[in-house]
Amino acid sequence: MSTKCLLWWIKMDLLNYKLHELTSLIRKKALSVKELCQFYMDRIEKYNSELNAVLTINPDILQTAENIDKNLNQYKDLPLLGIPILLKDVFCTKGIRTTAGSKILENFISPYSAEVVRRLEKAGAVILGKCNQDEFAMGNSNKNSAFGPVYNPWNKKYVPGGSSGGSAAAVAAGLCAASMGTDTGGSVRQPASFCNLVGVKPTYGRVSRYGMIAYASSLDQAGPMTMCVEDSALILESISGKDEKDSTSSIKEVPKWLHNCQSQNIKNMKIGFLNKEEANTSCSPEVVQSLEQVKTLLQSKGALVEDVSVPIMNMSVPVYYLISTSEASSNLARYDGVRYGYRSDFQNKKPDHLEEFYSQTRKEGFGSEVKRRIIMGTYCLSSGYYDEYYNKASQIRRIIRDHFVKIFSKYSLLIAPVSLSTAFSLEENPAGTLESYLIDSFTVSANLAGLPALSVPACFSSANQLPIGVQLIASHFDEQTLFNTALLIQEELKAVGKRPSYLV
Amino acid sequence: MDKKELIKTAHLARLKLSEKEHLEFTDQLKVIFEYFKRISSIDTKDTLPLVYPLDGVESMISLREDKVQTMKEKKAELLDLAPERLGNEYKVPPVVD
Repeated sequence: MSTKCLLWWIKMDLLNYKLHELTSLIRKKALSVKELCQFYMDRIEKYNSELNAVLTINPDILQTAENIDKNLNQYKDLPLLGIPILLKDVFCTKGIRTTAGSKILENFISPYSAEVVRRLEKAGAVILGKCNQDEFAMGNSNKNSAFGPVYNPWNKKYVPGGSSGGSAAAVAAGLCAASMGTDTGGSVRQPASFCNLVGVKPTYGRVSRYGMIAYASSLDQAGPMTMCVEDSALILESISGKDEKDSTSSIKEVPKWLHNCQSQNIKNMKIGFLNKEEANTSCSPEVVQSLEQVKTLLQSKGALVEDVSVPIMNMSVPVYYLISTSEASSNLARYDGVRYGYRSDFQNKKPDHLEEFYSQTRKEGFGSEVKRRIIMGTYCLSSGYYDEYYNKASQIRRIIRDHFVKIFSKYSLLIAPVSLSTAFSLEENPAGTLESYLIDSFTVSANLAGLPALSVPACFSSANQLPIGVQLIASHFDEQTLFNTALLIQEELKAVGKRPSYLV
Repeated sequence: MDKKELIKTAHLARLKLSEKEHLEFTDQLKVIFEYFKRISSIDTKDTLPLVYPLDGVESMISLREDKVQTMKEKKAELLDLAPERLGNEYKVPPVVD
């Protein structure tokens, strides 16, 4: 094959490479970083108008790419060399606006970058731009964005999930090599399941939250959203580890997840399957079937599979919403129109007092789901209700956490649904309904307990042809078991890596 | 949560709500809190609240020394973010005549 022909072939096939294969092409100079960035920018140009996944393109992207190409020798050993990554718009980026999906931060340009962004860049990645999301990461549909909903690339009448919906749709549509999301109650795992991606919520404390716009600080964790298990392992490795600027980040050593990633030998491994009946809500038949498929696979490989009962699970949704909204009401108090962000222009009349100034600005700047959650949280923390709601929920949080710790003294891994169904249509589950919160029934527990959890594609629904992922949950800091078992599922069930045919 | 409580809570949150939001939120939050009340059925006597999820599991949390760190070099940049400023100060509309 001539060099020209080889280059043409590589470029036709760019969407099918894993990240470490792309970096190796760049190292060999078979592909330049600039070409790779241009490839994705062209795809954004072509497809984003119908998906609304990307909000902002990094204006310096091509210059950054050129700089890496010019000084390739200096950068060539970096693990994410030249990999174009899109970020959920909740990660602060110096020089690129950061909106958190909100009107209140529509024109906000942070004076510093998040630690995640700094580490990605240090590892050689290039920031391609920023993705749409549910406002302040509140939602599971990406319908709660000041910049309009994101459409699921698998079927544009359906939601991509949320809150990291733009990040999910962008990877599924091949608008970037990988993306970053954040997960407070399932916001990486659920959109990953809806868009056929691998999505990881690491152990609380694995990844620094510095520069990540806070929703609920004791639950928030950043995580990669990728086309395959190996890509997630590689990215997570690059962003994990102690950061002096986040006192809750862990000093625990970061393992070489990618290097150690091998299809798990699960002979005699004890794996628990979560008893779905205890969640006070029910899963669609397709979701039940996907779990059965995984169970059969794991049993055929010699795993000791048992059903595990977590009766306290039926409290996880109330506990999660009481705690997360309480923390949010405090975290979002900073948006007052004084120091940064949106300020009302008080066209009708000037405010009578400072309080009026704040409440008018916040009324105009926040969307309705954010307002609803601020109200919920303020109520939980207010005098007379603190013990009944916030404190009680925090006590049950300990019971839930301790229950999971006990489970992991007996089992190496727990398997559960990610969501109740495949992606739902844009009309279903309107915001503010109890049903819209119950969608999170199976994801919030991992956040409450601080456990690592991963969503991996398992199959496609026979009813609507949309993807379904399964959730793997492991003991604190045992992301390796997640990656290894997910790799086995990836290799055996072969749903991972598939894209909608019109986008290939 | 009834309408009176909603008005009080919105005030505490420094959040003005439209009449439509008042009606909607009252109905919605009534249903949601009714569901949330189920937490009262759990016996939590002698259970400490859990705030930091790794409390008691992960002992390797390290706090930095309690020393003030300044961001003086960022002062101008930070001030530039303000919707309105006057010299080195943030400006808000006059609120008293």
